[in-house]
Amino acid sequence: MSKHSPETKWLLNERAVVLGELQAIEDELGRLAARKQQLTDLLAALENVYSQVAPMVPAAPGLVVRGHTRYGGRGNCIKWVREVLQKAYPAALDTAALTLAAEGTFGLAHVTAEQRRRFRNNSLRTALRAMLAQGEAERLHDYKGVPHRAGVWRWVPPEPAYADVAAQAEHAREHVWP
Amino acid sequence: MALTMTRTRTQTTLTKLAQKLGEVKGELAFIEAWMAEAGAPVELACRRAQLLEQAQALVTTLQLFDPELDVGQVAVSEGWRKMYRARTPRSLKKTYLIPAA
Repeated sequence: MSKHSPETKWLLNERAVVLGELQAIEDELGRLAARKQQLTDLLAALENVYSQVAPMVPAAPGLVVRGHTRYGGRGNCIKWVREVLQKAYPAALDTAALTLAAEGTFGLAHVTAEQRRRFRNNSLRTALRAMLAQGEAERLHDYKGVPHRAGVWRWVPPEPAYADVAAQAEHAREHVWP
Repeated sequence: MALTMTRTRTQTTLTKLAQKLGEVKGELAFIEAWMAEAGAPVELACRRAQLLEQAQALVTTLQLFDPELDVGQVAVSEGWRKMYRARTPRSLKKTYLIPAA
């Protein structure tokens, strides 16, 4: 065992920790610089294409939107709903449970019941109805009759491709029972 | 259509962007064939650089539209010729560099 005085040891360990944090900052700065370069290129490309598509119309005034800050990216809400429903299949989930799960996943802070209701009716139900339109989810509640407190939704597994059905039929024809 | 704040991607947008890319590709092919000939005007090189930049911008935009899109599949289109109102290749070459100049 080598002999180190306590002050040397403390200094060296503190130095190592500071170096580690500096390294983390450098990594993050590198990532941000790369992302900034990518976004700058994208902006230049969009402006170029805008001038090609509408050469006579002046570009819109400098509109700045900070988009998709809530779920950490575009389309993440519906992706999450799809995953959750898929995991629960063949069971169905109601919107109240989905709302609570979404609050946990995305760290949403709904202070009042009204805020929670708005999230359920606007964000969650929009995602569910988009899935319904694509045939990815089905309603199990009676939405035309008595108004319900919560909708019940279930994932719909994708229909088999025609080639699979044809192959199955072919297989059945070859292997006649008994 | 009203300028609403939506980022919904429509088929019309995709069609327009792909058409534009096809036209730029067609114009590039025309310019490159012309540049290979003897006595081609020197302004063509400048126009070619501009078109290459436009094509790259369109490719980047289409990839933003749909990252899974195979942009190489976009075919060459001759729609860009309409603007010059020229029936024959000779008259097209006569009018081609006038708007650029």
